Amino acid sequence: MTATGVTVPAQRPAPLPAPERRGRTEVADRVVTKIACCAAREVPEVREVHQRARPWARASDCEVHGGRATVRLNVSVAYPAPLHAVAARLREHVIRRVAYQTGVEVSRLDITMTDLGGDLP
Amino acid sequence: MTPAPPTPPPPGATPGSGTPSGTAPGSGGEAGVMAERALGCDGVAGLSGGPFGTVATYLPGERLTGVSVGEREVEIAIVATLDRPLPETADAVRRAVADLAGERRVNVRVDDIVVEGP
Amino acid sequence: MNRKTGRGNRWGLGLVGLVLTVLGGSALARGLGAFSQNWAAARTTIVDGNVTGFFARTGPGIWWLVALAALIVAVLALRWLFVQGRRQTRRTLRIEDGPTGVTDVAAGGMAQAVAADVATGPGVLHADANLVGPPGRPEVRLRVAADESVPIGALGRHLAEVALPHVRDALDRDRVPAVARVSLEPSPSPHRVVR
Repeated sequence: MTATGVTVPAQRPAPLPAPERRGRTEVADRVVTKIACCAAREVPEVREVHQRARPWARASDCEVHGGRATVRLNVSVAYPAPLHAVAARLREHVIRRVAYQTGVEVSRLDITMTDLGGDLP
Repeated sequence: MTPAPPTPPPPGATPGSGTPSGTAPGSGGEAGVMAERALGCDGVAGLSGGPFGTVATYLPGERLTGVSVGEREVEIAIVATLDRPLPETADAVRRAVADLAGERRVNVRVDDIVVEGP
Repeated sequence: MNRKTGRGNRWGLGLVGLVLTVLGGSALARGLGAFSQNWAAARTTIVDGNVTGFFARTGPGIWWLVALAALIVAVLALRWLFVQGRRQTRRTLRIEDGPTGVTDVAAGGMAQAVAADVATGPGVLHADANLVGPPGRPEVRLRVAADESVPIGALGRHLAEVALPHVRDALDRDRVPAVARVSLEPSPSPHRVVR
């Protein structure tokens, strides 16, 4: 996970010095990955988020480039849950949480449901 | 957190900072003060060396991780908490060191976050 | 093994059989004296002076050709061996592909969940599931071992009214073809623990 950063657009310029002297804010890939995983855990049908790589599955990860991020999440989902709806909810929630917490726009969120099972919450 | 005055005073006027041009002893003390102020900001859990520990200031006999003061730019790498959105934390850090940084840009890098729980 | 592999196997086995039949038939015909006795007389060794003379005349280059031919045969044989591992089972099921990202479901994970669901049915001793079929048209293959003392209709109802609707709901499809192979087994003795 390289810490290639990102330029976050100015959000609250009022009490700050002139914009040309403000400097960049960079957010590391690792940070966006962690926040995305936390957000994914808040979706009720998601039973687990696999943040680290396992022998049979890739890690959840993220690449941030110029204020936009591509996120890949590996999750376990309850069964029987409507998977399309779960994916839509997951995508919406993660994109909103990452944007709010980091100012990074998630332009693409790939979801892999590695295993299903367990009761619905 | 030190609120930034509308027009920052010349860096030399601030206690703890040395010469404004960023020569070695002066920038060392300056970097130390910047590190302390950044650590005092809400939402900052610590300073980070950045990837490969590149963000650092070398002082005689010690190494200050997380702050790197250059001629034109100041880099601060932090470990943040999730108490507030990261852009806000970054702005707070920037405000806290604005008077020391003077004309220089302050680049804040959020290198990691501390997540409560597992 | 999928259908493509099966077709390849039929062709490959047919070809090998043809080659062996031709060679064996020729040897038999030669032994019975069916060929011209001037050219290939019965009751003589196959590798006779003519054959060794041919290899001696063409020099060492011929052995490189022989080695090359053997290598090609070996590669073809290895490839044939490896395609036997090709499965009809899908590894991932892409249920969504849009500009904001794709959604994949691991077919193995889904199959396990389906199998676990089927296993809750009446009299099911063991259940196994597979997701097969082309992308966009998943099909379910079930292998169920059921207790023969429990009415099979109850199991059928469980599949039709619980397990398969769950698959359709999960994949958000009106139709998911399913084939269930049910084997009836004697009731487990009470002290044996069966999941």
